[in-house]
This record gives sequence, C-alpha cells and structure tokens, in this order.
Amino acid sequence: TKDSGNNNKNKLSPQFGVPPEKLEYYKGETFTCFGSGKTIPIDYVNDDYCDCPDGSDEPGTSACSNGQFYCKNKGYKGQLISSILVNDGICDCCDGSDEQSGLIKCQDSCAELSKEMRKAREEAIQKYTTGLKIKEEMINEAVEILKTKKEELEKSRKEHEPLKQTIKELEVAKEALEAKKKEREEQLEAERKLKEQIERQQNETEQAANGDTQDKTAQPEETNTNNRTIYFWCRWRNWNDTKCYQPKPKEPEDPQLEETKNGKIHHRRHLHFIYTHLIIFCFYYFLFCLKIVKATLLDTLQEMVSAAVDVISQYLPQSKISELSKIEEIDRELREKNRQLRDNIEQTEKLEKLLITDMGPDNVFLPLYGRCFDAPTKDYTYTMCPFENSKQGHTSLGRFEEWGPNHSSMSFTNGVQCWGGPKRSLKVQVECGSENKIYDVQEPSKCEYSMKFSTPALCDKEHLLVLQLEDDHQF
Amino acid sequence: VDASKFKTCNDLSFCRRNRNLDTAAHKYRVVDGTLTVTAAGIVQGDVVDQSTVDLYPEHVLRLEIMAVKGSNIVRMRVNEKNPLPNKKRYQVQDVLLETIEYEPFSASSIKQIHTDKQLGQYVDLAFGVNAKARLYLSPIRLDVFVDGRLAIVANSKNLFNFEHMRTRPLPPQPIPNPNPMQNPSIEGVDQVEQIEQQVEQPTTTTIVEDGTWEEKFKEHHDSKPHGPMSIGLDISFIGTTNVYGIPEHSTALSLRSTKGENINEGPYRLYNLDVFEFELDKTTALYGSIPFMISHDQQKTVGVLWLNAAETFIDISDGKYEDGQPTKDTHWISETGVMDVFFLVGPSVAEFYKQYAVLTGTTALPQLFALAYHQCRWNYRDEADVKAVDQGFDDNSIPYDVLWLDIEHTDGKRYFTWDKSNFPTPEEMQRRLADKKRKMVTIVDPHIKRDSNYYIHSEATSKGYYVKNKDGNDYEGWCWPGSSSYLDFTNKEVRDWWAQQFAYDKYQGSTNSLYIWNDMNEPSVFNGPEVSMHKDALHGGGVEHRDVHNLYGYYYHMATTQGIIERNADKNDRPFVLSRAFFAGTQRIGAIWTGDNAGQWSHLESAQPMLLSLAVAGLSFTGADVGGFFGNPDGELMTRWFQAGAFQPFFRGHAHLDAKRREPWLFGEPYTSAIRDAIVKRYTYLPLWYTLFHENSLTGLPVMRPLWVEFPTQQSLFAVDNEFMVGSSLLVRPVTQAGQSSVKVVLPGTENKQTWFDIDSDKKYFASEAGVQVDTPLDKMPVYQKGGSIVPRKERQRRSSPQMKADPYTLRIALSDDQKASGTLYTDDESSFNYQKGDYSYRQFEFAANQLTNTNLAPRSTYQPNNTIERIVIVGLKQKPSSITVNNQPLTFEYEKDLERLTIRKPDLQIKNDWSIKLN
Repeated sequence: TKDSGNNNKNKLSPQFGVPPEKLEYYKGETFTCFGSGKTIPIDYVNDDYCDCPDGSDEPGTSACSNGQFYCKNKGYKGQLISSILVNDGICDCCDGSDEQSGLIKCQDSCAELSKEMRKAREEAIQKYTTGLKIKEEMINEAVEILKTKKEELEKSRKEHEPLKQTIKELEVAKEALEAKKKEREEQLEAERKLKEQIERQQNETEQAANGDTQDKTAQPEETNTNNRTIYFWCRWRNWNDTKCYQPKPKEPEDPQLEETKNGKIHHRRHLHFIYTHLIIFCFYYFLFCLKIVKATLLDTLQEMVSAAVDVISQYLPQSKISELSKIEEIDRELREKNRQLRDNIEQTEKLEKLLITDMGPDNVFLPLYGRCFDAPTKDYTYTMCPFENSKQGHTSLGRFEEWGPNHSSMSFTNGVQCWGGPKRSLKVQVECGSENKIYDVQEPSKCEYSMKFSTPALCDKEHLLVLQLEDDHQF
Repeated sequence: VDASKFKTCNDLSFCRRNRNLDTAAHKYRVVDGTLTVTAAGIVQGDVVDQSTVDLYPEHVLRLEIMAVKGSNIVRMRVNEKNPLPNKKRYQVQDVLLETIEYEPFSASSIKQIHTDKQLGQYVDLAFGVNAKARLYLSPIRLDVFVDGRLAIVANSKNLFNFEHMRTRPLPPQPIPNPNPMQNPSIEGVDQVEQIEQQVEQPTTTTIVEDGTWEEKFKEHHDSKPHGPMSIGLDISFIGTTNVYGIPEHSTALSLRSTKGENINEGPYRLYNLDVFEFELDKTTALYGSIPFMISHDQQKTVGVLWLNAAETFIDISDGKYEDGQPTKDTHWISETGVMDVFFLVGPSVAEFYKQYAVLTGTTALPQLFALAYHQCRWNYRDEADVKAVDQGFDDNSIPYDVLWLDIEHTDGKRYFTWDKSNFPTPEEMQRRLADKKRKMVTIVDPHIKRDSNYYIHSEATSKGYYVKNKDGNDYEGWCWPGSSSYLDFTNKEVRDWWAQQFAYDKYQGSTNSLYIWNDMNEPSVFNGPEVSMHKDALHGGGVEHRDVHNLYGYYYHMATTQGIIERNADKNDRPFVLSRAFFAGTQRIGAIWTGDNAGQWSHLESAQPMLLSLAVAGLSFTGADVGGFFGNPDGELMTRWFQAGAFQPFFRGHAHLDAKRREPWLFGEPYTSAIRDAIVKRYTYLPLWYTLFHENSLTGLPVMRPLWVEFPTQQSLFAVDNEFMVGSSLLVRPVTQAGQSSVKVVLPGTENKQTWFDIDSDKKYFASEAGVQVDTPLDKMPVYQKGGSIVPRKERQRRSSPQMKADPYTLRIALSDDQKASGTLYTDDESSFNYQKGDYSYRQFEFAANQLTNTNLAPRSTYQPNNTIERIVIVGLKQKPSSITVNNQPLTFEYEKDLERLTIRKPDLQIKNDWSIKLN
C-alpha cells in the first residue's frame, strides 16, 4: 500500500545536487541544517521531505522551495538553480540533471551551450579589448580637456573684475546724460500738456456735432498699435525691415479670383498676416521671457528701455535725436558689456560645475561632455547628451540628474509634462562597449523612457582579465 | 464619472410611470371562470385590468403558473393573450437550462376555491417539498409559502402593471375610406382596423403622455415605434431585514433601501453600461445585470429571478407585514418583455442554491491555470516586453500562469490581427510561454472596424450579420477602431460564424495556448446614448435592442467560448474567456471581472461586496483587477490588493495605459516579498479552489461566500461584507485601509464554540461576535481555517500551476473543539472535458475518534492521480498521541504542545487509495 510516488522511485544519494564546495557536509552519518543547526539522520537528506527551514537538507529535490540545486553541467559550467525548478517537467540545467524524476526527458545541451559561451566570451573579449584601448584614449583626452577647461576657468575668472569696472564707468556717464535728458523732457511734457488741452477743447465741440466718429477713428489707431508692437519687436530682434514687417503693397490679384471671392479674402489675408506675425511674436516673446529669467533684471530693463527709445525716436523731431543717440550709444555699449559679464558669469559657473561633476575614475567620461548621441527609431530620433539633456525629437525627456551606482546608469528628469502622465524622464543603462552609442530605446511606462548606452569608458581591465582567465581554463 | 451622461429613473418615461403608478386606478384580476389547468399541467387564466377593461376589451393577459420539478420553485408568467401581429413581446431565451422540467399541476388543484375575508377568492397550489403558492384572484396576488411560513408575496401593494401593446394613436383626421380589397396585405388590414378602433374609441390623455412614443436624452433620440410596453410588479420578502444580489452595482452586499425618508438614491438599475471611472456605493448601472434577488433570514433563504433582459429598475424599502414581521418590499420595473418571475423558496441555503442551479446552471469548471495568477496590462508593448515581463517573474521567483495582451496588440484594433511591427512572431511568442507551461490571453472585442479591407467586416457586411439601425441599415457607432459595427449575437447563425473565426487557420498567429478576453460587450458605443447602443436598433426577427440589451454581452461571451472549444478538432480543451458584461447564466460560459476600477483604497474595499454580490447571484468565477485599473497605487496598496486578490476567485493584476509599470517586483522591499508571499499562498491553495469549483457544479453554492451562507442563523453576520469565506473552510479579512496596523475580525460560530486557526501561525481562536483585534503588519492579511475542516494544499512553489501537477499534497487539518474535521479533494487532468465522462477523482478526508480516513466520494470515477501526501498537519489537537500508525506501520511525527500542533512526516500515502491513519 505504501507507494512512494514518482519523486522518489530510486533513492537519491545525499550528495546529489550539492555544489562541490559543500560536498563534505553531506558525507557523515548525520546532517546539520546550515541555517538552524538542527541535526537529522543522513537518511533524511534528499528523501523528498523538507526538514531544514533553510532547505539545505534537500539539495536534489523540490521538497524545500527555498533550497538550491547544483547542476554539474559537464562540458559547460556548473550552475546553482532554485529548488523550485527541480522535477517540474522543464529542463533547466543543460545536462538535464534537474529532471531526474522522469517527468520529462532532457537532452544534454551542454556542449552546444559551451560553444555558444565560448563565442560570446570571444566577442566579449574583443569588445573589452577594443573598448579598453579607446578608454585609454578617452582618459588621455580627458587630461587635455581638463587642462583646457581649467585654463578657461582661470581666464574667465580674470575677466570678471575688469568687466564690472567698465560697466560702472558707463553707468556714471549715462546717468549724467540722462539727467540732461530729463530736464529737456520736462520741458517737452509741459508743451505737450498745453497742446493737449487745446485739442481736447476742439474735440469736445466736434463730438457734440457727430456722436459716432470716435468709434470709427479708434479702429485705425488700434491697427497702428499692432504695427508698432510688431515693429518694436522687429527692431529688438534686429531683423531687417522688409523681412520682418512692412505693410505689404496690395498684391496684384488675379482679376477672376478677385471677382469670385470678393473682398472677404483680402480681409482674411490681412488678418492672417497679422495673426501669423503675432503668433511668431508671442513665440519669441516667450523665448525672450525665458531670457529674462536668466539675465539680471536691470540688464533687461536697459535693453527694453533702449529698444523703446529706438522706437520712440522714430516719432520725434530730428533735433532731439542727437542727444538720444548718445544715450543710445552708451546703452548699447552697456548692454554689450552686461552681456559679456553675464556670459562670463555663466561660463565661470558652468566650468566650475563641470569640474566638480563626477566624471568617473580618471575623468574617463569627460570626453563625452558636450557630445550628443542619436538613436533613430520608427517614430522619432532620440538624442542623449551626457551630463546635459535628452530628447525625443524636439521634446525634452529631461535634464541630467545623477549617476546610478558605479556609473551603471544615468538618470534624466524633469522633461516635458506628459498629457495624463508624469513629467517625462529617462533612465540610461550604461555598459561597456567598443564605441560610444545609444540603442534599445524603450518606453516601459507612459513617458518613462529607457535606453542603453554602450561606452568604452565603462569597460574595465579586471573584467577582461577574468574573461581571459576563464577562457584559458576552458574545461 | 460624469453622472449627467447616464439616465436616472426620472429620465425614462416607463420608469416614471411605474414608480408613480396610481395604484387606486388599476385593479388586475383573474377573469371569472378562466382559471384552468392545461394538458401540460400549467395553471392558466385570463387577467384584465378591471379599471380599463371597458375601454380596451382586447387588452387581455395570459397568466401561467408552473412548478419546477424536484425543486421548491414556482414560475409565474404573464404575457399578452392576443399580441399585435407586428410585434411580439420578447421572451428571454438561452438563459434557462434546457433540462428544466415542470411538475404538472393536477386538474383538481384548482377545483377548491377558498375565500379569505379580506383578500377574497384564492386557490392553493402545492409544489416542491412543503411549498405552496396561493393565488388570489381579485386583485391578482401570489403568496408563496415554505414550511408553512409565508416567504414571498407578489402584488400585495397593487403595483402590478402591464402596458398592453397598442398601435400608435394618430392625430385627429377625417375618417378614412377603407377598402380592404385594395390593401390585401395582412398588415394593411390590421392597420386599417387599428385606425378604426382608434377612431371609434374616445382617446384618453394617458396614451399621449410625454415620452410614450418617442423619447430624448441629451442629443440622442429614441424612436420607440412600439410605444409604451413596460411591466411592473411589487414583490415583498417576508420576515427578512436583508436582501442581496441584483448585480452589478457598487453598493454593499446587503442592499440599501431606495425608498423612504432621507433616501436620495434612485432605484437599483440593471442596464449593462460601460461606465468611465465608476463611483462607489451607487445604485446606478454597471457592466452586467443579473435580475436575481436573494432574501435571507434566520429561518429561510428565498429569492426571485425576474427573467427579463430589458432595462430594469428595482426599488427596495423596509416594511412590516400585517403580523408584525419585518419585510423587504421591492418593486420591479422593466421597459419591455414578458413578465416572467421565478420564486425560489429554499428554505435552506443549500437547497436554495441547488434550486438556482436547476434554473441557470453552475459554473463551468475552469482549467486549473485559470485559477492561478494572471498578469495583464494595457499594454505589453511588443514581444521583447512580453519576454522581459515573463523573465521578470522567474528572476524574482514569483509564480504566474497567464500573460495578457490588451487592444494595442492588434493591427489598428482589428481583432484577430496582430500589430506586425511589435508582434511579428506571435506563434513563437506563445510557444516561448508555453515552454514554461504558461498561457497567453488576447483581447477580442465585439465592435468591428468598418474597413472594407478587414475580412471580418467585409464578410459580416456581405452576410448581413450586423445589428441594424432603426432604418434598416447597418448600425454604426464609434469605438476603439473608430467607426464600427456590431454583430447580432442574438442570432445563432452569427454566433456560429463568430465561433469559426477562432479556428487556428482563421485567427492567424493563435495557438492552442492562447485564450480570449471579451471587453466592451455591454456593448460600449462611444457616441451612443449612455455610451451604448440605441434602443431602437434592430436585431433579427424584429427584436429591438431595448428587448435584449442586457443579453448582448452574454451572447457575445457565449459565441467566443464556443469558438475556443470548437477550434480544437477533439473539442476537448476547456475554454477560458473573460467577459465584462454578463447576465444570469454567465457562470456556464466563463469568468467576469468588475471592470474599470480605480487604484484607490476605497476600490479595494469595495471589491469584497461587489464580488460577494456576484457570488450570491450565481457568478463564482469573478475578480476585481488587482491594483485597480486607473491610477498609480503605491507599494502598500498593491501589497494589500495582492493579499486580498489571492483569496478571490479570479486573480489578475491589470493597469491602465497611462499608469506606471507595476509588475510585482517593481515596488522594492518590503513590498515585493509581501506580494510574492501572497501569490505563492494562492498557489498553495489551488487544490482547494479547484475542489470548490467542482463542488459548485454539485451544489450551486458560491465559491466565495458571504458569512451568512456558512452561518445562516447568526443574525449579526447577515450584513457583514468586509469578511468572506472561501468555501466552507477559510475565513478571509482583507486589509483595506492605508497604514492599518491592526484590524478587528469577527469570528463566526458563537453558538457552537467554533474554533478558528490563523493559517500563518496556527494560533487558535474561538468564535467572537464582537471580534478579535489582530495585528496586520504589511506582510499579514488575516485568514483563518475553520475548526472542523481539512484543506489540501500543495506547498511546493513552482513557476506556474501545471508544474505542480505531480507534486505531493499537504493535508492541513483544523480540529473543531470536539476534535473532528472533514474535507474533500477533487482532481482531474486539469484541462480537458474528460471529467465529464467520469475521469476524475473525488476524495473525502475525515478525522474523528483519533482516526483520519480517506474515502472515495465518487466510486465510479476513473481518474487515478499518482500524487502522494507528503505531510499532514493537525492543529487544535489537544493530546499528543503515543504513536501513529497506518496499517500497523508506525509513522514519524512531531507534536508541539504550545500550538496543539501535530505534524506527520512523510506518510507517503496515495490520495487515490482508501486508507486510515490511527492516532494512538
């Protein structure tokens, strides 16, 4: 009546499934569980019943779910697998030793695997050898870059004080001129007010005569403001006038078209023209605003004032221009110097930041700074610029945030907000390769991207040595 | 959810009319002298509305009363005696089992007419065992008794209403000059006659009441060519304070009142709908409908099946019967169809569920893999993704059986096709999974892309298989693929054709390890009224969509399942098809899930009452998406959800397209380990789950059960829905709140000193009505094995369930206080239909008088499993035995006094053999 079931038809040796280094523990009259120190008769080892809480008494069966089985894999390499996989009807070891209960017949695939492994190892050795050579170059390059960058920083720091001094001097000169200008303006203002008073009196009498003229006159003025806004902006962008904005002379229309489509088209075209420019304006204004954030407020104000002056000057009598142009000239110079100062600060900060960024051992990653890598896919081209930013087409996937442990990954965060999702982000897996390139771009979750970056910079000598050693020791 | 998108009772004229029925103005009665017993033994009579009979003498109803053979079930059906020739009322088909037989009433049963002082004349119709239906004639009323107790009363509130079908009244016009000779067609003649009638009759204002002949909701128009045809009936359950069922809704297990003071919730609505981000604790409609209500009290379990597939509303209120007993008064209102009501009067829970099984059948036995863990996401991107997720489970030692692909795997939402750039080698992909004995499930929805290059569409078009719009053209609606049409699955020919599409040579890229998921089958129509189909759309035979709406998804599920069976030449692989929409009887077809829930604690909490409501209405193979479909649950919520899901019948993790990745290992420790433990635990209990599904086919008892099913006399348990039973042996108390470090667990069975054993620690508890407070650190969800039960487990962890097939069992015996226990174990080949021919094994384990025996419960069965028992654990054993023997051979054992736990080491007994073990 006592049938022992299919796992246990032939009694297993206590050493079955034990890795070589632990064999000695399985040879006595009794066995002591590794974890708990509980001692059991040797008969209880590999008897398909789990006695040790750590699973150490059943190396050759599946009785303990937390144990490990050692496949010898003759002709290949020995391997420890989970007890879960033992006698489950699926061949996991290439020698098939995990399926001794006979649920399935396994083919010995160790020789084949060994061949594959050899090939893979040769490729890896090749990869590492090439990679390490390039890595050496990158390290040398890094020394040069570091030297240059340090010099640049030195130079940048030196330029700082003189620039500040020049600006101070220019400001003093400007103040003097402005005081003069202000005096004159007050005079003008008084004149203007007088003129206005007279005009207002005239208007009141006219209004009494005709109620709705005002509405009609308001219209062209508005268009005029529009033009002026665009003009103002054009000037500021230093575009040449024709390209930027000039009220177009009426195009000679096809007479037939003119007839059929009548005046509406013309009106629409006109509006279209304005809207297009307004949209462009808004776009550049947005960029401009972004600039403001970076630039000092004072600097910007100066720019705006001077640009405004440019505009206003068009509507002022010639006599006043010379004085204004002097201020303008100083302003321009101030603007230029401020820009230089800002660039200088930016450059200094950038270099300082660069020099404290983790560039790996021997600064091996430094040559990647300033470079970008592309990976075209079916829908987009992905770009990754180490230490800077990453993109999907034109969409930002985030700026460089930090290295993962041992430079094995880089994360980019705070990309463009996703509709119905998070801000885009990218995780780059870094691995040794014979060249610097990105590949295998994925989006595992919505707007969370991943890619692989192979670089010689991550190849290491020790690993190559191990590979070569293993190769020499080949079975 | 945007509630304004969905109708309330007030938006529907049929519901308004019935809910506000002037009960004084109607009096339906059985016409004197018409009550007869037909040759088939059916009690039959004519019914008219006394108050309008003079106006509409042709409005006569036919009443039928039938008794189901061998069951305490009585059926009352009311239909029009003289239906209009162009439109018959829809009688629900293909839901009731064909095996139902009726016990004929004898001609003498109506001979004796009694008279009640208040209620007038009646006849008593005995049926079943100690059951009786008392039919009052005027007004018509049916009282159903069991064991001499009044259980259910119909029409005591006089809400019986039957809007006889009529021809549309025409606006006043000169009397036509009919010349029948010029209009020889039958329709023509009728038309003329009807017109004459209309002209002759004084038109009353009721006929032209708002919404009777057409109705509008938002931008949608319902043409209602047949006018008003609703039915209504009040049904009172006597002696009860709790009614259950009528899923699918998001309310508590014990149904709430919808009428009375301070109640603002509308009546429960049954109308299958795709509700985006559904809200909790609402009586509004969801994806499926089962018009079956259960009432339970300390004396009896009874219920009503309202067999109608049209839109239905049910009001519930508390009342008092004339003798002072509490009642649950309900009011059933359907837009169209026959009034077809089954009264099931138990009276025990066990008898009650056998009765319901007689009507609608039991759960199709799933393949074992279907009860294991399923991993789904909208969407696994490509074959590499599938491979990586599959490998992720192995790398993290987490078992799973099935990997699912949502709509993105198709070529532009053309089902039965593959997105070739992401899934270039679907067969190989399935084979790779199958190498590890794993399966794949792909989605196939009922909306068909209107693309002339899509073979399904062009064939369906040329064969005329689509549902038509009111004008007779193919119905078009908007769904995932864009412009789509919908097959008429109410038509058997269409179902057969659909089933053929699953043939391996038709469904290119499918293999025999691929199974199917049916979504959106309410049906969901993005631009339709309430995101569904127009009610005036036409199915075959002049049936309007309004007549069959709640059956559409059921028929679709049925056709797909048929296809999955028929694709194999031997038709010997059990199907697995998951559906979102359902109806009474869906249990015979496949599994359902609770639809698009949210990744929130409240939705985890609500999964229990929702699943229990489905369970009591006959659907046992159900689950809620683990993690919640929408949103980004954190590690704690995921862990708690996995723990709960591991003890619910259908166990699938799923996530929305916009949700972050949430495969179990992505949450890090301590979450990953706790999730792994939960899933592994599920696998150890698979023998119990499988046995319970088999037993469902014998008993009809739900697999996941409310406590009252097991403890029917303990009143305090009747409304509990935060705890549940798995079968009769496990009590589960999910943790459903964030940071909940301890929970109170009510332990049932105070009357008989019931013992309970924590399944993790084997710690013993005694029944406690007040509940015991237990610690719930992250890795702990309280589950107890009932004292008196024996549960077979397979405690060896594997990658997926098929690899456990040969593994030995552990018997876990939890003793009652009087040192007894029993349990069962069902096994078969886990995949084919051979069990239906007797190729299965069904064993009973019994512990009594210090002896454990294994006996055969099905002596004629033929399956001979080779599995052994590797371990027997007995908890609650008060005395250490001096020795344990089987056939006088001693067995090795260990006894732990503090836990009262005995472990018998390696008895190595075969489960297929009879044996007994003695504790000496």
